[in-house]
Amino acid sequence: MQVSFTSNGPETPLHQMDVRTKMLISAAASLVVILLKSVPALALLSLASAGYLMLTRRWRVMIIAWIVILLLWITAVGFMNLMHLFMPKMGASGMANMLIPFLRSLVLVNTLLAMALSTRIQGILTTLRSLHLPYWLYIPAAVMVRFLPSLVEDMRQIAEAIRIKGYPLNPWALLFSPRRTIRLFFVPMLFRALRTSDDLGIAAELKGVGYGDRISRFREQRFSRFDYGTLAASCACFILSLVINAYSKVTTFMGM
Amino acid sequence: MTESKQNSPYWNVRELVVIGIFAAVIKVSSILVALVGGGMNPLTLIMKNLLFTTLLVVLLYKLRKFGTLTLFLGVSALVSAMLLGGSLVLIPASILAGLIAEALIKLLGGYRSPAAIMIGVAIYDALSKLMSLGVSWFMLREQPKMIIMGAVIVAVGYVGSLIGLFTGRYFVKELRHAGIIHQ
Amino acid sequence: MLRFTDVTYSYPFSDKQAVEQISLHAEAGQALLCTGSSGCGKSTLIRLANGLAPHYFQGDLKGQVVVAGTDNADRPIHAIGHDLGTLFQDPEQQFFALNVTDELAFAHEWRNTPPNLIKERIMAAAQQFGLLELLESSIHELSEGQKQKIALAGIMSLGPKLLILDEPSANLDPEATRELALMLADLKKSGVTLLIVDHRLYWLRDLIDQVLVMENGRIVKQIPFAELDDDALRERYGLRNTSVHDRRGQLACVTSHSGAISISGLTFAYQGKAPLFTDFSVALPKGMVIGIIGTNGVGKTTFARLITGLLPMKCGNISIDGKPVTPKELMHRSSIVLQNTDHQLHMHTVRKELEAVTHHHADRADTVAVAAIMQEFNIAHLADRHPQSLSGGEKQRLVIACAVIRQPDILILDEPTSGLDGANMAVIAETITRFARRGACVLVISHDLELLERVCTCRMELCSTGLKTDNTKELNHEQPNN
Repeated sequence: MQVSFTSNGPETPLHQMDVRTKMLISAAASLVVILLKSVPALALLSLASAGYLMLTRRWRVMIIAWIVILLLWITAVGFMNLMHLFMPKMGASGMANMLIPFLRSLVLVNTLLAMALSTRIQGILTTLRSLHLPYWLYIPAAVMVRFLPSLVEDMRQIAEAIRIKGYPLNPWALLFSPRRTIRLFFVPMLFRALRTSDDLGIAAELKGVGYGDRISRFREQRFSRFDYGTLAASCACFILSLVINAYSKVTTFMGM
Repeated sequence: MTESKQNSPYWNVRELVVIGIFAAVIKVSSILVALVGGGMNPLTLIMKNLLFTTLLVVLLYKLRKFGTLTLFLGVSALVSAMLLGGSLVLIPASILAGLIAEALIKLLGGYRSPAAIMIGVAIYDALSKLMSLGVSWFMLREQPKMIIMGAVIVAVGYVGSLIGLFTGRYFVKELRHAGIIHQ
Repeated sequence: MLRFTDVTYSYPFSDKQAVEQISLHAEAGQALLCTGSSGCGKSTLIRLANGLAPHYFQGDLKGQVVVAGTDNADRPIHAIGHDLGTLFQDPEQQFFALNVTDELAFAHEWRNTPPNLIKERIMAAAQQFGLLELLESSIHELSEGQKQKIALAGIMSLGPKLLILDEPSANLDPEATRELALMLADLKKSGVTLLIVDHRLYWLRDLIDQVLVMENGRIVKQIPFAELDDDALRERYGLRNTSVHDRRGQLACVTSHSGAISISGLTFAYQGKAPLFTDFSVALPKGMVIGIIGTNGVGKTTFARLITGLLPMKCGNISIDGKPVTPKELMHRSSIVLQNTDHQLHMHTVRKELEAVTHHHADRADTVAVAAIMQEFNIAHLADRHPQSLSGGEKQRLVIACAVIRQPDILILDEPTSGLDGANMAVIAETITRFARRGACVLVISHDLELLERVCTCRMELCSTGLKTDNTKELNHEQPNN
C-alpha cells in the first residue's frame, strides 16, 4: 500500500476528505460485507466502492489491484476444482458460492485502497490529534506515524551501505541467505530504533510531553460538507445493500 | 479547545516512545519484506513473521511491563487501519490475543522470565493467527474449503514466528554485549 | 542563572565517575563554552544542567545544580524546562511533527497554552528566526541549517532564560554556522544565558565569555577564549583550531581533461526533477585528496553515488587508467563512506566487521590485513567490542578502515569528521592523506573547513551549469603529490 510521505502529489476530492470519514467507511464496509450473502447486494457495494476508489484517479494502481484480486480468485477456483477432482467427497462449488467471497474481498480492497492512496502522513498525525485519544495511546501512535518516513529512508541508506560492501541485493540472494540478510538489515535497524527511542524519549521529557493535567489542541480537523455528504451516500449504499440482501431469498445470481 | 489528560502514572513518556518506535520499525520491516519477496511467497511469509517476533521479543525485554504487548498491538493496529488499510475487524481480535498472552506471561513468572516472554509471544502469535482465520471464515463461509489455503499460509508463517523467538533472544544477548540493554 | 557546586555524578551500571567536582557559574546574558576531547564529560555536564541526570538517567549525584535559582533536585525535568532549553546536534531526530508549524506548536500544546496564544508565539518566533516562508513545509524538505533554526525557534518560543546547545555546528555548512553565530549573539544581547558544547571553535570567538576545558570528567581550565589560541594547550587537550582559513577558493581546480580517472558525458536526473548533470566531464588525478565543493543541492553526494556505481548514470563513461569500467566493476574499484556510520556497521565485533569485508572480496578473511589496518587506525584495542558500542570517532575510524581495507582506486568520504574532536579529526586527516599518497584518488565532501584546509590538495567545484573552472588555479598534473 502506498502512502504519500510529503505534502506534494495530486489533490483529489478524496485527499481533501477527513481521514476519520475514510476510516468510518472502511470500518462499516468490513462489517457490512460479513453480513451480506446475496450476490446482487454485494455487486451493488462493489460498484459503489469502485466509484469511491476512482475518486483517487490512480488508474494504474487500481487496475493492477483488480487484476491481482481476479487472479487470486481464479487461483482459488482452480484450487477448489483440483480438490474436488482428487477428493470428490468434498463436493463441487457453485459459481455463486465462489463469487460471494470474491465480491466481499473486492469491496474491502476498494475501500482500503481508496484510504491508502489518498491519505498523507501529515493528515494522519492531524487526525490522531483530532481523535482526542488518551495520551498513552496518542503518543506512541503519533511517534509511529512520525517515524515511518524516517525509517523508510533509513532502510534505503542501510541497503545502500550493503551495496557498498558488495553484497548482492536481489530478492533471490536476500531470501535464500536469511541469516546474512537479517544480520545486514536487522542489526543497523535495531540499533537505530533503540537510539531513536532514547533520543526522542529525552526530547519528550524536555518538552514536557505527558505531564500537566490538560493539553490544548492548536490545529484540529473538522468534518466538511463533502465529508458529511460522502458519509450519507455511503450509509445509503450500505442500507440499500442490506435491504437487497434481506429480500434476496436465494444466493444464486442470473442462474449461476 | 482543551482536553483532560488521563493522569495515569503507569506509563511514562519514554516507554510510550519506545513502543511507538518499535511499532514503526516492525511495520516498515514487514512492508519491505513483502515488497522484496512478494506477498504469498513462503520464504517471504517466514521472513516477515520471523522479523515480527524477533522485534517483539526485543521490545518485551526492553520494556518489561504488563500491558506493553497489548498497547503495542493497539497502536500498531490503529495506525495500520488509518494509514495502510489494515482491516479494522482484526483490531479487537489482535488486542484480545495480546491480553491473553500477557496474562499467560504473568502466570509464568512475569516479564523477568525470558521463557515466559518467549512463550507469551508464541501464544499471542498463534492466537492472533487463529482469530484471523476465524474472521476469514466469516468472509469465505460460502466456501469453507478455501480456509484450507488460508490455514496453510498461516502455518508457514507461524514457522517463521517460532524461529523469530530464538533470533529475538539472540539479539537481546547481542544488545547486552553492546551495552544497550542491561540485565 | 546556572550554578554547579562541587558536582560529582556517575551513571548506573558504571563504576567510573562521569564528572567529578564540577563547579561553575554563569550569569544572565553570559555565554560559556565547554570543550574537550570525546568522552571528557561534556555531555554529562549538559545532562546535569537540564536535569536529565539524574532524573532520566538515574545514577548517583553529589553536589548541587541550580538553574534560575532553583535546585534541579527539587523539580522534575519538565519544570526545569520552563527556565532552560536544550538544542541538540541532530534536531530532526527530536521533532515530533512532520510539519514546521505543528513542530513549533507541539511543546505549547503540552503546556496547555490556548490555541490563539500558540499562534501568536509561533508567528513571533518565525519572524525572529526568519522562518515565515517555511511554516507549512515538511521537515523532510529542509536543509540542516533550517532544521536547526526551527528547533531553536521552537525552544525560544517557550521563553527560556538559559539555552544549552549540544554540538550545534556539527551538521552545518560554514554559511549556516555564521548565521547561527549571529542568532546566538542576538539572544545573548537580549539576556539569554548560553552554554555551548562544541568541538568546532572558530565560529565562537566573538560570542564566548568563558571557556571550560574538560578532561576525564573534570574542568581543567576556565579561561577566556583568546587563551585557546595557544597551540600547545589545544594539542594537549585534543582541541580543534580557533581560527580556520577558508581555503576552498584557493585550491587548484580539477579539469575536464587529463587525469587517471576520467568521467565523460555524464548525464543524470532524479525522476521528475531537472537534470543535475548534463554531458558532464571531469578528470580526477590519483594520489591527491580532492575536495568536492558546491552549494547545497548542487549534486555533490549524487556525483559521489554515480561514480561509485550506487546510482545508475543515464549516460556517460568512466575509465580508470585509460580503461573503461562497467558499473559493476566500479562498485569493486571504489569505496564510499557515507555520513551515517550506524547504518554501515553490521557485525558483532570490530574484528568481524573488517574480516567480513575482506572475506567478501576474497575466498577467506585476510586476518593479517585486518590486524594491520586495526593498528593503522588505532582500533586494535577495540577488536572485540561491538561496533555499535563505540564512540563517534571510533565508529568513523572503523568505517573508513572498512573502506580502505578493500584498497579501492577511488575513495569517497562524505562528512567524515562531523562532530569529532581535534584528536580524532587529526587521525582521520592523516589516514586520508596517507591513503592518497599510496596512489588512490580520494574525494572529500565536507563542511568542515578545518579538515578541508588540512587534507585537500585540489578542488572539484560543482555549480548549476556543471564543473566550475578557474583558469588561474587550474591543476597542473605534473606537480608532485602532496
